[in-house]
Amino acid sequence: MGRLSIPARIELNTKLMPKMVVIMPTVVAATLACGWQLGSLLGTVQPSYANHSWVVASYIVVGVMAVIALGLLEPANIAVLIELRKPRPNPRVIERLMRRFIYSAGILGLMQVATLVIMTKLRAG
Amino acid sequence: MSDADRPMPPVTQLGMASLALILAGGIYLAAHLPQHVPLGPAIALLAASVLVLAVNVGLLLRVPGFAWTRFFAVARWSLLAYTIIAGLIEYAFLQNDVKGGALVVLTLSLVVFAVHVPMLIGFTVARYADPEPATPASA
Repeated sequence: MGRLSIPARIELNTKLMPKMVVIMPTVVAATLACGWQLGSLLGTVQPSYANHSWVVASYIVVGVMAVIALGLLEPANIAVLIELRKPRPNPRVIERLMRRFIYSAGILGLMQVATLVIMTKLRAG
Repeated sequence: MSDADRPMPPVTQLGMASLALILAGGIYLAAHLPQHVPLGPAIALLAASVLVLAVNVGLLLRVPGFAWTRFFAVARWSLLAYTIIAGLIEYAFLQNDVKGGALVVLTLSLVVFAVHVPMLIGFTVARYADPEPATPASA
């Protein structure tokens, strides 16, 4: 995104941000609740489960991603949408807010890798 | 000075810290449930989160010319959305027979969560809005 031209960034933001406002909190809440239900059904959330420490590690990974998504990205998402609706949007404000997405991409990528490692470990035993 | 450069208290950073404290408490409880879990650490984390929330609100109240109209215009709808989300999560706790002190701590954590996220959304929007003029009584 950092390498896109300004018009391309505006186009991307205008089309992507409204969808992310709906998708992000819905996916966070749904996956948290569903994951716990599945874990309860399978018994993997029980402290007696053999790989319980890896399951707890997955809680931490999800927690980090939830803090970043809900505390940093969601507010920026809505602020960008509201700024774009102004008669004269301030490009500096939009740029500053979109920088949050770029800076947090590294941490979120790391969390995704951690998720893959944990999933592999839980499956392989 | 443009809206983007106005100095602001670290509301976002404190908000994320408060959310992290709540989630840490939730992870601690989830790691022990459904067995009996000592509530001391969870209560301490919840108390710390509430303290950070109170500090955050206090810092925000002291910002001169803050766009409170814009803040509440955004935050109230966010509060509605996150109240619904918190209600769904609470329902999941009840469905999983979470009881007693653990349920109380988790419920209070959800309250802090449902308040703090809309506050962050409202703040992020309002900080880039035009400052509100001081009222005649406070001028």
